[in-house]
Amino acid sequence: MTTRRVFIVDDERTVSTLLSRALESIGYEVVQSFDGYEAYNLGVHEPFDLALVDMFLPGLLGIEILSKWQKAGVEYPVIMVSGSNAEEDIIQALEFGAVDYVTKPFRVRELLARVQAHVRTHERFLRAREIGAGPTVRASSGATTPFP
Amino acid sequence: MTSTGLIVVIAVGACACTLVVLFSYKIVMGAKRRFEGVRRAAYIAVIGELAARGSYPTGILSDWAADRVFRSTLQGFVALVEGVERSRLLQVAQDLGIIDDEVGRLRSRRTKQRVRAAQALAAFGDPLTARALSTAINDRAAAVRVNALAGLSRIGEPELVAKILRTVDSETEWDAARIMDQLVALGAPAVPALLSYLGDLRAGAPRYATMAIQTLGAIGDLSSQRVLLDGLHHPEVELRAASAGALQRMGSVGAVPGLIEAMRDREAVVRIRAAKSLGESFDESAVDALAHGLRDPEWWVRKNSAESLTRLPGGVGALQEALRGSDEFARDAAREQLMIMGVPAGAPVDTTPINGQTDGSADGDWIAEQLDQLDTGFAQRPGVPDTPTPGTRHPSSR
Repeated sequence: MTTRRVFIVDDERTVSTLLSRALESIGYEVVQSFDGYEAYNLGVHEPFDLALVDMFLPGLLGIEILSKWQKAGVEYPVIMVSGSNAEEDIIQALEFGAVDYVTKPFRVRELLARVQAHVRTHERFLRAREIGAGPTVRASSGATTPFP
Repeated sequence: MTSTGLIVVIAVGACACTLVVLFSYKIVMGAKRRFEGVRRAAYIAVIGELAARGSYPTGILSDWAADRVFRSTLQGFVALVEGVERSRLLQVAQDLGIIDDEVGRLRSRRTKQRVRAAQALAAFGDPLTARALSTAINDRAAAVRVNALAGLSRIGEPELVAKILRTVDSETEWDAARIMDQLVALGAPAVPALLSYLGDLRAGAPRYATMAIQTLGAIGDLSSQRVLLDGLHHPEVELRAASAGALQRMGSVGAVPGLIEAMRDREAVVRIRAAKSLGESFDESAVDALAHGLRDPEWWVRKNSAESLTRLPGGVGALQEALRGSDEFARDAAREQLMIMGVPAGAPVDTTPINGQTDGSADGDWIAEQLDQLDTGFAQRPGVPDTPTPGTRHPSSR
């Protein structure tokens, strides 16, 4: 079985370290980035199963990264992690393509469960696409297209 | 050597000495910061491991407990997590004597020490420190009081809120605002004390009642709706406006009749907030009041009314209606809002009654099509068709 890779994008070392230790403890491989631009490049060019992205980063904001990843065709799920629980921020993050939004402070075990659930769903989605019986996806242009 | 020469030599020497001292200071401070950075990195790794996996190297941690970098790192982690991990880290802080030490420092004669201790205890939010923190809310330093309240909010001690609010009027506006922020963090448990504080308003006009009303709005608990609706009738205009704004944040349908009434308030600032709030209610019964708001003498009321109408069922129809009305203000407000939505100012006007059936005219169908597309979330407006598209439905016919 291949090791699943999670991308953690957070400029706060405490958050990044805590999340990476927790994910490593359940068998995930973790790649960390502390800067928005670096995160964008790594996120586009490296294969990941999921990304945890902070809302406020040096360089690019979390939602800017999300938006750019969407345009670049990044498919893996992204969970936003933020200290803000403002309704507008949550809605904006989800509208920009995040699958989930977690506010700090968070429960580590709950966050791990969310990560695992989204990775499972994404894997199911990829398997369904492989056999050609998958659901339709929304393309970046906004049009709804079926998988070939 | 002449006296001038001597002065020059002394001055050059003094400058050189100053430069050497400053340079040395810079080197020492740089080295200190680097060493702190290295220590912090090590602490982050260890505490991260501890929080995530629960392993607990007691011996090493005891040696580090006195280091303020370790303490601040531990505080950072405690503020970051909840549940089991937080309990685990709190236990570490207790075992290492850090919390007792901070409680002791809360009694220090030096203000800076007390402030740091209150900040630390606020970050830990340990229920065992509730008593010390409740004493600290009477501290003479505002920063200690505010941090103590932050700690009590984190612990969840609502019975202390009333005590704090009794003295809030003596705080500066800045500190009172910070205190109110902490009450927002405490959430619904703070509401009864805030309501009681506002209940005393009838006796006079406390300085920070507006803040209390805004705090109730930010908490968003429905139990405060009655008091906020009463606030719409308060003699003080600031309180009426704050009540209307708080009701907006609450977004409750039950507030609609009161807000409709507030749309007739003599003060523009109240009508402005009421118009905005009605948009959050998503209640069709507010359409008439907002349509009336399009004819308000105040520009902001007209603008907010137009914006709010786009959020209500039948609201877009009211904007269309205003476009062909006789009131110039209403026409402008409606036209501007429709343009923001993607309908150009020169677009033909729908002659259909708001709740009536389409008359089948090309113009009517054209605007119905535009609105249909707006309703379905298409941001990009296609070119104006020469003829109406077959099968286009008017929104009201859905």
